[in-house]
Amino acid sequence: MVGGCPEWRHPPTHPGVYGGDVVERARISPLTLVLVVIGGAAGVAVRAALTLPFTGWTHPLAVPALTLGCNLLGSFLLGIVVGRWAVSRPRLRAFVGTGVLGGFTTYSAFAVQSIQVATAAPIVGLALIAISLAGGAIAAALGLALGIRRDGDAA
Amino acid sequence: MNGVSAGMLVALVVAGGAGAGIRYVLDVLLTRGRRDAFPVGILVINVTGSGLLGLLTGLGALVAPDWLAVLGIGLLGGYTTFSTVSVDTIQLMRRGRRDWAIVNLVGTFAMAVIAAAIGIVLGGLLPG
Repeated sequence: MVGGCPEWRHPPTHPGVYGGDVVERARISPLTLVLVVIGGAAGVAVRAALTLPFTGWTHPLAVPALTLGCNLLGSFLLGIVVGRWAVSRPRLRAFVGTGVLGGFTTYSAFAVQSIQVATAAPIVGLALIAISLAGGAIAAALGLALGIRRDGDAA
Repeated sequence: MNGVSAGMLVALVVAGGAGAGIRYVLDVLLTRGRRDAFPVGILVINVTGSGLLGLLTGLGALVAPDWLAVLGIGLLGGYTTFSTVSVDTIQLMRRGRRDWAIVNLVGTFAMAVIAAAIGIVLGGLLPG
């Protein structure tokens, strides 16, 4: 379990695969795909419900601020989910993590809104970018620490 | 909600599920369960998704507001993900790959912004 292996995203379908030297291709599981689609739809629905009422808002920072909020909260919650369930509950991790929280957070809107805000107000734009990237990493670290600790308590 | 139709909301949510499904399949195909691998799948997903949202944004009035919401907030919002980048960055640091962690955090953003900017420019070139 050493190295940058992404098993926290694709937990082994057969326990022990990653513990050995055998490199097994991660396979697409139809059930996991269904769970991810349903979860993703739910996550997108929540973000849309939060964002859509503000799309016509006059303040140019309303939607970028909401995107930031979704991305920071999602990073924190995904940290908990991965810390707690990546190994023990791979399907629950796929539904809530890859699906719900993957759909709830967004990189495309973050990238485009960063350009828009930085073009209109460079200092505000740079602050938004710095808070998003550093804040997301800090939120994920806190979530992971919490998830791993609770998993340890439960075990 | 600004006159958006119920049909549009349903389409947006369905598109979001489809986007998340495409992300899952593409990530598995690109990452292939390799050990000691950089999370290149999510990088490719976020860069391409940002480029496409830039294109939609650059097209401006050529895209009807309903379609912008369905494709932009729904499909591409479900397809791209911010939380995975944050968590992967910390996981890479925890595994002693500080260099990859920084590339993952900053490099993803740089490439996504460049892709989005190219998309915005390309979209603006099309005749309105």
